[in-house]
Amino acid sequence: MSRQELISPEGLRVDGRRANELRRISCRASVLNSADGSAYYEQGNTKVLVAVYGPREPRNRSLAQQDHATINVEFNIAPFSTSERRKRSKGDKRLLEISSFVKQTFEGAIQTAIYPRSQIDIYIHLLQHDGGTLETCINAATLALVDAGISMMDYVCACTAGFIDETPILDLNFVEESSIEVPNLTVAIMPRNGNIALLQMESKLHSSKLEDVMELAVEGCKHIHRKLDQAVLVAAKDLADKLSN
Amino acid sequence: MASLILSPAEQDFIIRGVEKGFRGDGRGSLDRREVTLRTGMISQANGSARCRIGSLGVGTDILVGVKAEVNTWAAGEPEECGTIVCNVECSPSAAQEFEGRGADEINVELTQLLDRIVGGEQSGLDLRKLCIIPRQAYWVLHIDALVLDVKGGVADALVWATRAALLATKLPRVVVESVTDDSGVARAEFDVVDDAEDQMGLEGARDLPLAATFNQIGRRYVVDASEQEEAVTQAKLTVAVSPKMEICAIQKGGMLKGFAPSLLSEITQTALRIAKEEFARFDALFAEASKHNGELDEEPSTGSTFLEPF
Amino acid sequence: MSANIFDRRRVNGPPRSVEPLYTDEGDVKPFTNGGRADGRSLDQLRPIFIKTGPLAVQPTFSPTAPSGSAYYEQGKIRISCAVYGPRQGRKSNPRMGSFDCDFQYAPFSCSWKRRPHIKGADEKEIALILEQAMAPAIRLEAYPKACIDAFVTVIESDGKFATISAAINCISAALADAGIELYDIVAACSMSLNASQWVSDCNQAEEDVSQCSLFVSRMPSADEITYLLQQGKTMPDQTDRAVQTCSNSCARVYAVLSRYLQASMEQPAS
Repeated sequence: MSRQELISPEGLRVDGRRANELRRISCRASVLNSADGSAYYEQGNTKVLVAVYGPREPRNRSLAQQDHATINVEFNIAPFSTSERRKRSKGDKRLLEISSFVKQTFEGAIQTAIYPRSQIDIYIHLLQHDGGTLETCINAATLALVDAGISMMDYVCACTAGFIDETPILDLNFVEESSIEVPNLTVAIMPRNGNIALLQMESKLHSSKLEDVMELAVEGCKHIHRKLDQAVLVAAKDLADKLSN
Repeated sequence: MASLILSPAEQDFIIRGVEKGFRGDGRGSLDRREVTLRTGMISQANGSARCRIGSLGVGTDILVGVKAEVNTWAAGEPEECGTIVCNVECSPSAAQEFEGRGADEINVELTQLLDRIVGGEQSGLDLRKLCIIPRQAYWVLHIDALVLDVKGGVADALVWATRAALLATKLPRVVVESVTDDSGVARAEFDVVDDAEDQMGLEGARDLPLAATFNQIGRRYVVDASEQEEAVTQAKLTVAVSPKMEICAIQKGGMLKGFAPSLLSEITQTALRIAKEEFARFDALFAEASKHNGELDEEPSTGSTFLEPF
Repeated sequence: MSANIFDRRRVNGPPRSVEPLYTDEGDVKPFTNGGRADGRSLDQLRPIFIKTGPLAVQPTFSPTAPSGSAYYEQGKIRISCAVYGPRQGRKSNPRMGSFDCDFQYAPFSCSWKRRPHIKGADEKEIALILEQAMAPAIRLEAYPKACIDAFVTVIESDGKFATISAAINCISAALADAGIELYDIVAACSMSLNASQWVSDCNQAEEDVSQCSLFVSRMPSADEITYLLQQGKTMPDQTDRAVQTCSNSCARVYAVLSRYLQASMEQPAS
């Protein structure tokens, strides 16, 4: 197979975006009424649904920690989410990996110390897959946790960035992500102080380029933060309207 | 199922209420809760639907995606038919005990139930139309259901959502042509037309059944039991009825009791009686859901209906 | 699969084997002008053979021995069932006991293709059906905090619905043998619709050509239907008629079961 051209001579990517452009983001909090908090988040064609329960009594007494809350993340990819149908078993390593990344990210962001002996459950469903699974999961989980009213240090906003033909590119889609030549860097930051909550890259990138790529990804995170903030405001206004009526 | 533990007093209250024709939420014994239906929220699937049966926005919530794939025929499979494969998964967001492998048992139960209702000829779908080239290639319809919330009456919501998803399913057109290879042997080959405009619905999808579950509580029964009512249910019977008023499948559930034969025939009669109303209700909801879609198609966006209040 | 992988956990067949000689049955149509291939009339059941206690270990008081067991034949169907309990279970409900069922097709028992050693979805579902069909007959409130387990193995099957109903009959006999308190014996019978005629107790060939199959399990003296399963399309009155006929057939199975159980009581097996 010949090398697929990921950036056209005009500087446009396969889906018509420019190098520093995010995909269209739409999100909504409180989409499931019975969950304590929930959110639906889509970035381009990647769609995620998150339900948050808790803080509640742990399912197993052995899970209870005396001084902080336990966070439990379950990640599930719907069989119809990919272009080729594929059903994954519960023990799929890829699923466990993503859920463990999400768990580690939020262990640092949630103020677990104020919920001792309790458990916070985050259930993530990937309904449609078009690249950037981890970033969308983290963003959607942030929104759902805010919706559930769980105390957090700050939002956690995640974004991916890559590097093609000497240009750093933002927010990789599935085609770009699956190309082996494109390094794929996922960054999650807490926007207020700019702390990095998660940094993950599994491919080769020259160290001199890392800074540029990081900078772009962080810029993307800040943009996503504004989007999430808007969604939270909309949800809060909704709630206020309901209360006043 | 979600284990709701009720006090003996509350159980007694529900049982006596049902026997006198009163239900906790003011419904009659044959009334269904509010149904919300949406279609077409998953653009990567050939058809999708979300159905919620409940009141005040809380209820059993099911998302179904239908995906069609071309399979090559292997010896031993039916020669001129396509197949339907059902798969139901309960999300831990429905109940905490569904975490990990906890939902396996209920997944099997619901998968088999769905398969019994829509998996074969009894569904009314024309499986022969799913054949592309006899003994060579055929369509497989994967029906994947995701149970997001359980608040009583999962089986009904599952069948309602599946019917909507299958009605909304569009298959790409397939061109079959005869090709002569080098040795001069003619064989059939096919090409899937990749054009969003050039698609067609499933043959016979209008004949798909709807299901109603009857829960025996005390000496009477109710349709579409709520979570509390389900907790005191002694036995239940799911009846799937087609629009032509045929019975497509019957399955009993519940561990505690059996049915008296007279009650059983009363239930099947009632199932047929309310079926007409149920189909009318479904059609109205489905038409509304499809209209919804049409509006969104105008926009270049992915047209998700998750963003709208559901 | 490489030949030198040797599965030590299971009983392996001989390394070299010879296919047995089959009698050429030809293409026998299950139904020919109204009659059945095996010469039965439409509502005739296959002959039933029951024996309780085949799995009893001597002396009977052994912690590993089942508290009751049964072997059941109906035509070609062969099923064995062992009942353990009431014993301490994992789930302990202070108000009533629990009844759990395990259903398994032996690897060689089916005419259709299935993966041996791996429990399929159909087996798990049948186990659930058996639990729901038997539990209404058991006085579970008499066994609080206890657990009763039934293990069913199909040695040979002939007709999916017929096998499920045979399994119900077999569990009934095993529960009675174990001395578990029952309201009544549950008897079950299957039926298939062929060319708008209901045919009782169909074998696999007959079920394959039918549009609809159903089975009913019933407690005849309490007149309670404990399970009803229908797969396939019928007109409503046809279902009613089938449930009627099946109920009558259940009564006949019930007569066979109770006559045997009575006889085995009066004359304990040596």
